[in-house]
Amino acid sequence: MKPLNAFGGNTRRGGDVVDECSLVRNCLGGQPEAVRELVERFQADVFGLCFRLLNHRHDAEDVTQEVFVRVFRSLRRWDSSRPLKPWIMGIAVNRCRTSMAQRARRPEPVDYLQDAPARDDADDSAELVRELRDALGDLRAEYREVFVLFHEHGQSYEDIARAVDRPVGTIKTWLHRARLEMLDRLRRRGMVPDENNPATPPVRSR
Amino acid sequence: MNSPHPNDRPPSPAPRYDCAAAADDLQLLLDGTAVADLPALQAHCTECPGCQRQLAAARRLVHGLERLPRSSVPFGLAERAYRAVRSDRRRRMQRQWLAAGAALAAASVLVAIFIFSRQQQPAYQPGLSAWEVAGNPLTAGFEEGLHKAPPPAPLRERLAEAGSAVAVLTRRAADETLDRAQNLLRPPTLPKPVDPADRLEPAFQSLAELGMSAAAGVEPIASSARRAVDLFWREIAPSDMNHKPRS
Repeated sequence: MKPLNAFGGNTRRGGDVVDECSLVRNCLGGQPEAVRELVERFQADVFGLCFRLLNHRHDAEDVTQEVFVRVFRSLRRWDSSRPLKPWIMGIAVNRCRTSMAQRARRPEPVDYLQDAPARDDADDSAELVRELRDALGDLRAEYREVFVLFHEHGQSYEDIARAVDRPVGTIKTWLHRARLEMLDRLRRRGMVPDENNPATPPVRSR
Repeated sequence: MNSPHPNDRPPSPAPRYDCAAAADDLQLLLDGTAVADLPALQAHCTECPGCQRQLAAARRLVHGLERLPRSSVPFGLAERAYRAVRSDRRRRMQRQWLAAGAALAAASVLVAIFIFSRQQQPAYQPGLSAWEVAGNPLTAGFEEGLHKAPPPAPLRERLAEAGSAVAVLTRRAADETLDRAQNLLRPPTLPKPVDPADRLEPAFQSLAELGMSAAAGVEPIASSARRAVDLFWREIAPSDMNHKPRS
């Protein structure tokens, strides 16, 4: 790991000053509280990503544990000049790929209790969410990774490129293709009403 | 000919906003980036049904993504992950300690072997003769008195073995010498007189068997030569079938 500097690792996320460098330093020093804090800080992101990529709750739990084991094994190699979250998400993406490859060699798991139900809106949001979930599941693995990292976890192109170890141009291409496939699927499944009064989509909230 | 002033030329038409430009702007909107010419996109979408449907689908996508529920973290996941991390760290430390212990044990064994081998062999000292290294027997008593230390036990044993071996060899040589001397001093014994016919008979038999013996002696050489010739003809037969050996 590069030497920790006073400013490099400090990032601001949602108004909270996160001293990632000192947290990592304490973890490397063997402090159990620091280890627990790091796990609790990133468990939701890691589990969410694993669940979305694997589409299976129990597999996602197992892979989340493996991700944290890997994170602490290689914590010394973390570049403290970069934020911690993309690095952890990159490890999570790699573990999900490994898990998917292992799953391809065994019978398909079926999870009947996949996720919390979508909000019961008066409109067809529940159906739309189901369609989106199915569409995500049908995307190519690489497209799904970048789509989920960008639209669900708010990662930038650069962070995703580092996480999946591909150039930024490739990430843009994959994300654009993933969106076009999703849009095409929504249109084919009749989820897009004919509108005579088109309006611009709302700007993505990051 | 008066050329028109550049300012008098009619303004060049603005680049046409086509479907490709609309698709690019749509991706920018989905990126969350500001679009440079939003009115042009809106105007294009009112005219182009394909882009209009694509824009509507993009709106539905954003709508659906905002409502996509975040998966709830299972209860106790952090604790399980923490325990997994701790047990992994403990396992790795145990492995490291085991590896270090094995390396230490191997190093100890190597050092012990080295020390033992050094005790077994006399130390090599350049510039000193073997006499000086092994110790001068004439001054042995003096050196023993000087050093006061008894020689190491293995060296004593080896010296004892060497002494007994020399004694055995000396005894054997003395016995052989005594035997030869006794043979020389013993009176000669003359052979019995033999009948000449008995002496000539084996010679006759030997001469009669001479031809057969010669044939039997030459037989291996002849058979080897025959096989060699056969092999030779077999070797050259495929390439030159017309030249068969004349038997």
